[in-house]
Amino acid sequence: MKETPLSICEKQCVVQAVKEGQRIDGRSLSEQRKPCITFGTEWGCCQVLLGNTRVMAQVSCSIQVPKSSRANEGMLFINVEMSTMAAEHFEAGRLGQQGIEVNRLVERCIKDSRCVDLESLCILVEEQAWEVRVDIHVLNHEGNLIDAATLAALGALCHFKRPDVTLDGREVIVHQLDERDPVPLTILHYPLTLSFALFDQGKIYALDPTNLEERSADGKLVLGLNAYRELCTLQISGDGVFIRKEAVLSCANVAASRAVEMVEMLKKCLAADAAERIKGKYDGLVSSVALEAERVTTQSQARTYFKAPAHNLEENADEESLPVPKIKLVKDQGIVTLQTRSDASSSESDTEMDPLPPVPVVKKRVYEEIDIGNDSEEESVMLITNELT
Amino acid sequence: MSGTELLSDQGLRIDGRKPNELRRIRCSLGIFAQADGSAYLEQGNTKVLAAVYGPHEIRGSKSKALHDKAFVNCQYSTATFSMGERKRRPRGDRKSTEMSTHLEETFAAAIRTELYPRSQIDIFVEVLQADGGNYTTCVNAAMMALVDAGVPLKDTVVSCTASLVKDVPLVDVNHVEQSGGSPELVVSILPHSGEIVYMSLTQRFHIDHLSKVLDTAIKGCKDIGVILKEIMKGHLTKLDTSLQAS
Repeated sequence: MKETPLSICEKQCVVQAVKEGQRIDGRSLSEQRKPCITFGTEWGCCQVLLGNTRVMAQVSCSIQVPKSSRANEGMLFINVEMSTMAAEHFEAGRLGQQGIEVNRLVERCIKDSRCVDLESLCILVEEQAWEVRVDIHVLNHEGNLIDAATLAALGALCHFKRPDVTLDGREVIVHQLDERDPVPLTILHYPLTLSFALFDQGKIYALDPTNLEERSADGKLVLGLNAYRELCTLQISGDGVFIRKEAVLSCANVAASRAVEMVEMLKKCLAADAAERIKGKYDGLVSSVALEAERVTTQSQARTYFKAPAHNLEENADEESLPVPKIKLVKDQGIVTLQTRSDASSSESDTEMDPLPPVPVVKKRVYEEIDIGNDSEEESVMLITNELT
Repeated sequence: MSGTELLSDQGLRIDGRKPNELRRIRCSLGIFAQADGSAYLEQGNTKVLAAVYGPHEIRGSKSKALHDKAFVNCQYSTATFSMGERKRRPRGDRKSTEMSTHLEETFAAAIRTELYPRSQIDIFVEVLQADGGNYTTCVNAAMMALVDAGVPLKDTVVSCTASLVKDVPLVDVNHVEQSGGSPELVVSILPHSGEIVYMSLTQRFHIDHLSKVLDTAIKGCKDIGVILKEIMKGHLTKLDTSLQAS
């Protein structure tokens, strides 16, 4: 499908607003949308949400023969996929011009700056080495794909762990994930990109443009920087853009300070994910969906918390099967708890709780805490499913 | 290759140049009879052929037609024998497509496209021998071909590379210096106004060095511009005398 054409009045509105130092979404010219990074349950899965732009990266590895010109190094391969799901003008399967630009910029920022130590990926010189492959999928396009893609790729590479390998003479043994802990990749520095949309012959630049701003701009300046204020990549593109040297230098300074903050934020997210995994509870990408649900619901005050005890519970007391305890719902200051009683007596004693008869060991799903956004009139809403396997 | 070999203690580079010296430029215009404009440019050991057809009616899909300006179509192709190892695909792979896009954007900024609405200008560039600075030589060659074709330009576009080795900025890097791990900054400017039309950087260096390296590249561009202008003048006077003679 063709992209919806940009109307002249839309374009003029954006350009005029930028000339006055304002942006459509209320940000300042050097303000970035707050990135939201979530990691998946698999090692090396990272999703970045930059405003409404959503990009997901997944890292995988396999053993290949290393290149003859670099026989003692592993390989890093970056691939960007853009489907019609992200925007209507993206072709499924084939990368258009924009897709190739994103691909090349992510490659230059991450691969050419040598942020991953490839020599540590070599197993046997000239024979076997790890090939690490980063697949970046653009899920929604709302401007600034390059920054989101680089951040996702970097987050995924930092998160990824490869299987451990031992050499027995000339034999290579790849250990399974439950045999030996997987090994993280060696990341030497953290390069990120920051994009500016250029307006008014390069005199005005806006950081982190939305789709509308990108299309209305004269051109784009993409800077790749790491936390040490080193420039990893730089590109000015756009037909009809002229920019002066001083503008480039001031953009670089703005970007350098922003890059340091973003690397800090990425490291914090990685540490938080590591802490959650140690505790044993990590929801993966579901947590990012839950974030969406939080934003949508309007009655966040009427939240009902469930604390289901780890028992074999059934909604209807089934007489002929196990002696299932009767369940009583108690709403106490907005918190509904389930209390069980072993006998079917009608005494309404809330505080009494007899020990249950021994229940045969079955595999069951235990709900520690179920959060239900309550927008129904009923006070007692029960949502328990049980899997008996 | 370590930094010590790229720049010797006497301040000489691998090929014997000083840090601010350009490679030898040789150019010859009007080599193809078929194309509207053509040029062959050598910068050191990098040899590029450029051919320009234009402006003409849009071929292929009419959907690419722009109602108010001409559409610039570039094709960047590297010959299979141009590098050390035989290249399997001369064009169509990702790097070539990226280069083609950058060339299109560079020339769309320089050509007066508003004079030819709903038409197309074709620029074909073939790298015969690649020894570093492929993009820059292509831009310079294509610009000479555009001048030979007589396409109206806002200003000439000149391109140059610069690098940084041991805190010394080098101009016009070749393949050995580029693959040795030192950063390469490619700049295309309009020499009269000094405005940057295209810029790209590979590898990395500290942001404090950016100003120095950018200055070196811009100065290199202006020097190349002077040389190319001399060549252009020479060609046009030769054309003029041969036309007057016939």
